[in-house]
Amino acid sequence: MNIKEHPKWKRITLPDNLFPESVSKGNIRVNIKGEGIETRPYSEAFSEGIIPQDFMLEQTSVKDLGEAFKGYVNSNYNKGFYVRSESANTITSTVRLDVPIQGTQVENHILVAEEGASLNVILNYISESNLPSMHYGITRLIAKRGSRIKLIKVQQLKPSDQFFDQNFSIVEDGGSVEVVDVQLGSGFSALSHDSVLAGRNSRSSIKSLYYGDHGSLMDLSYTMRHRGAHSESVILSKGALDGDAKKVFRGNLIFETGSQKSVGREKEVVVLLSENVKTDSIPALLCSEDDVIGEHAASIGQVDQEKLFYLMSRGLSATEAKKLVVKAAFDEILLEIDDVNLRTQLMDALDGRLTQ
Amino acid sequence: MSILKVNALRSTADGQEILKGIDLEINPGEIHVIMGPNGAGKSTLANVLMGHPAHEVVSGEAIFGGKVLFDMKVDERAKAGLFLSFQYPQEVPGVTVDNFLRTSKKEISGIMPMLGAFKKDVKQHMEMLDMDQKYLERYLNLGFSGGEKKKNEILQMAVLSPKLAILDETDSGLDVDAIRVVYETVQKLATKDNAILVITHYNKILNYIKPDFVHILVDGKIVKSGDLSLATEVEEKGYEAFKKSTDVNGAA
Ligand SMILES: Nc1ncnc2c1ncn2[C@@H]1O[C@H](COP(=O)(O)OP(=O)(O)OP(=O)(O)O)[C@@H](O)[C@H]1O
Ligand SMILES: [Mg+2]
Repeated sequence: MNIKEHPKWKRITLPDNLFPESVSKGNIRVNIKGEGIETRPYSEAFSEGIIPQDFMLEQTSVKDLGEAFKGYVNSNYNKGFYVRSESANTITSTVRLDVPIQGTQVENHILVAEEGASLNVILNYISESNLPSMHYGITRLIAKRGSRIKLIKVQQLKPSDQFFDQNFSIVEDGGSVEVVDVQLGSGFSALSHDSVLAGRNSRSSIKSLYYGDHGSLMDLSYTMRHRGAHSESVILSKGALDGDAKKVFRGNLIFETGSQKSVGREKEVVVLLSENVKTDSIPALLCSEDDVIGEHAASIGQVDQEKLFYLMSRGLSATEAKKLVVKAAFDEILLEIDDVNLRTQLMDALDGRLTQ
Repeated sequence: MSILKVNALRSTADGQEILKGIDLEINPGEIHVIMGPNGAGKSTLANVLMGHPAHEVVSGEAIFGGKVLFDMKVDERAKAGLFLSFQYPQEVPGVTVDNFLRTSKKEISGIMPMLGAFKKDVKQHMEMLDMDQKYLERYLNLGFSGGEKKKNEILQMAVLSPKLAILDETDSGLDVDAIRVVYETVQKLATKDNAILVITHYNKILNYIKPDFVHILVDGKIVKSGDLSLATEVEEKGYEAFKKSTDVNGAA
């Protein structure tokens, strides 16, 4: 399929050079800790018919980057994995995928946790080229009855790179999906997370952290669709913006028929480090059930003056003090990253970014 | 040479005049106490000296350690040896007390403290303040009780050993035992080379520290200065008598 038309977005102008025809090779480095894990290339799982039709969650999603992006990934991908955690896999296994980004990378992933299984996945995106590069990807998460999937996505690309990432998840009865999304690099990032809390007592959370400076553009969209009763969702977004960065946050809580007694909470915290940043927030709440709780909270502003004054009175320069306050705001999300080496590396990277 | 010399200091916040001409001189080895009614401007004086951005100095000057205080940024004042124990210390999640003490010490002394000696020093001060070592691993002031926050302020003072420490109502929020422990520590930290300015409402603390001067601050001005006996006078008569004296001196 060839995508001819160039999509247009209202709030953020998309780059011109979308959807290149030639897709780069390059291998994803796979590291598995634990057992009971099946992995195979996505293309192989697809051609062997291992992936059922109803795992193609993008076909029924409501909020994503659009048909052009979905179509491009499905027609042009040349890498990605099918990762499955077998049922009764009581110990949590971790699959770490390090994705080097050079040229145009197009990936398809599916992560499946069978009934009662537990699965941790880390997807780490790193620049491995000095030339402007891009990532286009789709990740699907299928959490069956009573299972748990924790996905940590980390994007540390260079400023000339672009990152287009779509995530779709479905959670069955008593299952849970936790996503931690860390966006530290890339000049242009557009991402969407669309999660269906299909089962009773299902849970889904997305905790996102981002840092933007020098003209970086970000469009972040998070959607929770409650379908099962007693389901619970959390959207937590924490970011800091400097220079003339621009960011759009979209948080959607949707309570469909049958989702009675469900709770959805979204919270956005943005620390503004310069006067020239632009931040748009578009929270939405849609209810087809009465007996639900949907909450939205936002705190957007300059670094607290009183905090800065306190820290500076202890000898920290204005920059040091700001850095500390931003890192403090991010701490809650960074602590979700169990891999200590990765967490430390991210803290150092963040430190470097904040010092510039 | 004095540590701090303040001359005819006037300040505003939000367009409102708060300090209306403060004169104050503090020499090495001295302990000063400032007392005064609520809203008199005591915290404002402390904040103006430390450089709080909400307060504007409209006239007057202050020389601290031979330098023009109001030309310095907040962190430069700290590095020059000025310390403020806050009436309401800020909570900073994500930064442990231990980490903060070390960072602060490094910034103020200009060198990374030797780990072993530093740890020993901190431990010793915590014992003196009757603080559990476990607070070192807690986030700075986060979820601390009112009293714990105040002790933590004095721990910072002890570790940073400033030339001039201003203690803004460090006694409020402390129980009777804690007041004793904290002010005995403060008295021990007083040397012939440094100075302490204590802001308080209560005479209780005077059982543990021995001030050389007591000043009464009413409506943005120091209306009377004297020795310890002035504190007793306040206890007996309240501030009303002093308030009248401003009217006489001021409005006439
Ligand atoms: N940032 C500010 N903006 C506006 N007004 C302020 C500000 N800070 C203090 N004030 C005002 O200045 C006056 C003096 O306040 P200050 O906090 O200095 O009093 P205080 O003597 O410390 O009182 P207390 O004993 O209650 O602590 C008050 O009327 C207060 O409302
Ligand atoms: Mg006060």
